[in-house]
Amino acid sequence: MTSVQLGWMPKYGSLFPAIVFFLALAALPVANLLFLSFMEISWEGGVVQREFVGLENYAALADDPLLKAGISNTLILVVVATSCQVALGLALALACSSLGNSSRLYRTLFILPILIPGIIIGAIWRLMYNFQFGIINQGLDLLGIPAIDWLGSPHLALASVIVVDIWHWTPFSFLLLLAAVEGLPKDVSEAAKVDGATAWQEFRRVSLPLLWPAIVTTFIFRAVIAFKVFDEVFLLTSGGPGTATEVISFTIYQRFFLQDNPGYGSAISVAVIFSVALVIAIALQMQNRREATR
Amino acid sequence: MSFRTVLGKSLVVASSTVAVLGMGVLAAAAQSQPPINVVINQSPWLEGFASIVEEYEDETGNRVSLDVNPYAGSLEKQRNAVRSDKSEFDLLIVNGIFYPEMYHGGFLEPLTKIDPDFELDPQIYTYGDTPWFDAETKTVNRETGDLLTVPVNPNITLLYYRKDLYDEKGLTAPETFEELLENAKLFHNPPEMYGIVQRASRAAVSVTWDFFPYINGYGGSFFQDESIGDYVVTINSEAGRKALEMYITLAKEAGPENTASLTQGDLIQFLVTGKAAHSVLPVAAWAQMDDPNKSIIPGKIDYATLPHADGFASTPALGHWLAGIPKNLDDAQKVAALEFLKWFQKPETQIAYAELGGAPVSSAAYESDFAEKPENRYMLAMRTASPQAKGLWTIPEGAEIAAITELGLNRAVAGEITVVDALNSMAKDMEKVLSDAGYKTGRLPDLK
Repeated sequence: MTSVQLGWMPKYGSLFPAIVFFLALAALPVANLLFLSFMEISWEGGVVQREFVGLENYAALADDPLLKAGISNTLILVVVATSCQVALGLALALACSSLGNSSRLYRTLFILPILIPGIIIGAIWRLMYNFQFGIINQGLDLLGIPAIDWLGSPHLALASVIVVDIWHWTPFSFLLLLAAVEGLPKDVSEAAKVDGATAWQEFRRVSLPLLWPAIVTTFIFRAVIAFKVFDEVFLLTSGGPGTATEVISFTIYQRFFLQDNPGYGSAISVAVIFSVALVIAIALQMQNRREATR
Repeated sequence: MSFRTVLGKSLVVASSTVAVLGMGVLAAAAQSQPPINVVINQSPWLEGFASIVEEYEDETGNRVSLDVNPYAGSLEKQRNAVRSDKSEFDLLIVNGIFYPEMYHGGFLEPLTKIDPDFELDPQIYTYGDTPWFDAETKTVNRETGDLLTVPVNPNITLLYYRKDLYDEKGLTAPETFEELLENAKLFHNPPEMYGIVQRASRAAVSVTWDFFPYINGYGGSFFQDESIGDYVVTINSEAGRKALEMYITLAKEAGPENTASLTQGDLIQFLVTGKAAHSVLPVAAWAQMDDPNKSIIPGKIDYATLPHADGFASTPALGHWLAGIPKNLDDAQKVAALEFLKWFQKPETQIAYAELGGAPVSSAAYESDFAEKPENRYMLAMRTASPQAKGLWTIPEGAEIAAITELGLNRAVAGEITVVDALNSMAKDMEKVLSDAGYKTGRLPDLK
């Protein structure tokens, strides 16, 4: 059989539609954001006024108290919530997998929270957390424990938001990790058992190393989504009390939309996009190195 | 079938056809304007406004659809509408706090440009002359400005208090902040009853609006003198300190532990469930107090104008709503929108608006016999409060200033920072916003 030698045109030409889609849906909006971030936008006589302000918007980032609080709270939320979700998701996945077909009901129940729209979750938990009328404090009252100000206390509000986020998003980790657990080769575990390994040793020495790539991928996916948290904060606390639950997305919303400052809002957005991209790139690089050394 | 039967049936069919056609013609004649689309926010006064809109539709045959949104969502939709080639809304219900950006941006059509004979009804309250704007001097000015809007809701704040409890103790409505504190502490018995509930949460505009009557009631202000363009920031004055200290003292000594997270909805909930003795709420919330389907204390709430410090005037915060017509509309739509406003501002419409549970904007309603009925007692408080009410600001940077004050005041109430730190930091940030925008500004020396 003779092979046909294709020139570079058909090869690269076939990529053209994908490049167009990428430019239209990803690159252009980000480029527009970048462009806006160097501008001061105002309206005069119904006409938009754009003034080039150079790096002024970026320089202002350092003095923004809301942004500082937003970054620190978002990092806490991402690390704590994602770690808990991955740990819980893995535990549930292992439990469901060990039950075989009889776990179907549990699987359905476990994924329910992720199917509920964020706005409903916010409403449900806001009612449950209500200081005076909420079911949680009513339950505590029955036990003789005084009511706790879950959303109004600066010391508890972020933790309360994190609990909601864990409840909402653990099913995401559960689903990804369940697929990985179900895909584990049975013969390796069985061989470990034959060699006398305990359940813990089998998990620690056999299953966990095999699951590690899936755990890292789940963590990164979940962390990226957690970084964008908005609806839960918006509905539960609006960033308060004070700046106790301020998160980056909420800061962008306030600066960009409520305060109608698209230039500065774009600067925050660009900074966040590049920071998150950098973190993901570093995480993937570390994962690749780990894979390469195995 | 006989000839007579055929003739008879033909006559019935013919007369029915004529009747149906006639009704169609009448309906077409009644519907003199094209349908209009109104963007409005979800507020306690929405129900009353929706009812008066139905009256308009029934009376004129014209169609009006309401696009109802949360507060911030409504603002965003309005911005998008006026900045596009053609607005999707024919009438914007603009908040009395954010209207300056619509005026300064040049987005609203002067109403006399749509109809040169149009005038605001003399009985309509003008709320600091906010319907007029002079595009040359960039000031709210009745004498030299264009009429851009018609007020549609007064929404000034009143003191809501438990009249039944006051009667039991032989008290009268508090006139000073000190009396309010004393009375609130008297009734404070948590968790069954809180002396006062305050709207101290952080939102687009929440705690700022609640605090405004306090700083003014102590003789202070946010700026030196806005009327002459003097925007030196004065929130960090001694009056500001006393006002914020009193606000926080009320919260600590007579309020719930979670005052810093209370929203307007929470305040209403506290009152209608009989768990609060006092609150400061916009007038529109009155309708829920006496509704037996929503309240366990119907008839027990009374209303008063807001307290003040000795020697100063009561200053309810204006949070009124104004209806404006975007410039980027077809002429026919502008005329249709103005037709609604013409009908809305009539004295008889305003009285009907009150009867339907709305909060009217005309003295015709507040001075009518309807206002004298016991169930409409809020209207008597409005007679006193309306002329004393004051707006937060008239500049388009209001949203940025509100973001600063919402954060600073909320942090102070939550106990994150001290009163002095809150006032000094707010003053510094407000000065920067005003300075960047080119106003004549500065700020008082930091409080120690």
